[in-house]
Amino acid sequence: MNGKLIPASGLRWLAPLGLGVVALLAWEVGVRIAAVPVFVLPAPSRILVAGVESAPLLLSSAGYTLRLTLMAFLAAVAGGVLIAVMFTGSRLIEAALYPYAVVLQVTPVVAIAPLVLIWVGVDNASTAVVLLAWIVAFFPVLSNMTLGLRAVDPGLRALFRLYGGSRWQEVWRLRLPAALPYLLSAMKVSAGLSLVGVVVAEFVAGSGTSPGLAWRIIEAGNRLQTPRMFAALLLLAAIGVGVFAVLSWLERRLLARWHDSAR
Amino acid sequence: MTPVVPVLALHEVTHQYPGGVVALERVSLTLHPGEFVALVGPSGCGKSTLLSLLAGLTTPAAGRVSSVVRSPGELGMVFQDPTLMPWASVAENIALPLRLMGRPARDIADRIAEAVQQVGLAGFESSLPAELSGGMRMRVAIARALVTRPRLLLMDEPFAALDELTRERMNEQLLALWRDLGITCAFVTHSLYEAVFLATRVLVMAPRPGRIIADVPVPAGYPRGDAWRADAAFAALRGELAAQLRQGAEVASP
Repeated sequence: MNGKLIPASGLRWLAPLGLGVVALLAWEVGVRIAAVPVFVLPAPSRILVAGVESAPLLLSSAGYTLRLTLMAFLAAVAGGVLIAVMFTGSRLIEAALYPYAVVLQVTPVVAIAPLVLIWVGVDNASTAVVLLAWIVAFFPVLSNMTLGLRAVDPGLRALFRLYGGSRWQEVWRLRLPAALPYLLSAMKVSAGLSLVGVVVAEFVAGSGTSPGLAWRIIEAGNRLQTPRMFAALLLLAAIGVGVFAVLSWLERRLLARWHDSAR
Repeated sequence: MTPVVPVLALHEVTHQYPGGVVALERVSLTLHPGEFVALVGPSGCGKSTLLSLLAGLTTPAAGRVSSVVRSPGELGMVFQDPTLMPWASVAENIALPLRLMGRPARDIADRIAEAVQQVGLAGFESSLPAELSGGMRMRVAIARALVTRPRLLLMDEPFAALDELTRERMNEQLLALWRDLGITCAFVTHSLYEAVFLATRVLVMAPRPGRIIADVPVPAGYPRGDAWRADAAFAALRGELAAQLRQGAEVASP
């Protein structure tokens, strides 16, 4: 120790890391002393071993889950933005469509899953999973984006009218940039929901040969392979954190210079 | 002498808000080429509505607006707030009117350089609004209004949010621009000090319903500076206008 205070930025990483190490140690020691059966709560070391042993299988499952999550997420962003722009163009379209978007959102995705599975066919479980995850993930984009496209300085709108700007120019030069902060914050929510959607949908729509992490968890649960279950969970959490980190970085990068939220 | 065609004129214009409140009642005014007309009045006398009518952004309920400036770009407008696009650079904000009008990129670059020069913002072209002071942001808004080389410039309390020193400097620079460019200005303000310093003519408005109660010429030449601010005639005129304002407000209140 040189007696210097830890700088704030270092503290941001060191504090949670230290807590994690302490917790893991306590977990390891506690499980060993109390002799907890491994299928109830495996020690961290056992989880690590199980993870390394089944690494090829788990990683390819994680790849599958990540791919489907990204597909659902990108479709949710594209769909949400597109529909929100349509809403801005026409109050009629909004009035007609919005209630159905809400209905789609509030209906539990688990309940729709069997129906979607019938429609796309049991052989196309992946399509069903992406579709279901999309349903869960697109609503935050739609509602935030609709709000953002409206949150436009009335003075700037007057200016666009003064110089004879077209509707398209107003959307492209004014409304879309103004909505960007709203979109980016919706994307963070939507990405998390995409992952939740993919996992839940695979629980329901998956079968014996399903390749995703959700099914690895079910499989390991059935066989009481609790260490492997933990390893799969860890990977899921890592995917979630990774996607969130990328989006946070993107948000900071795009907004840092002009938006209050990123300063 | 041939009669001069006014740049813009309102004839007996009446305007109501959606709730039925009369914002302006039988207002007539004429802006002659090269004039600098200040509109003063208390809050709620319809100054901003009047400016919006002059800009053609609002259509009057009754009466007639006649104008020689009708194509976009012949009229520039500066609002109370700078109303800049926060995501766009100074240059892009200034370029906006030209882009909306579909001007070719080559012209736009030249015009931006010219407008930036006029308001003294050289070197800040790539800054974002958030990186500028309030006075500089207002300069960007003025450059944006000038970039189309308008014949008429409408300003709605543009310097109200600035500190006094900055406001006085901006007033002087605005006058210099107005004289150089030979444009016509209509300038809304609630500061008599500012009105008397800037204008060739001051229109005094009264509230409820909004109307013009006095049309007072300012008998001083240009250029104007601190000497005019310290002049006895300056103070006298300010006092006279203040009396007019008070009278207008008393008649209106029950």
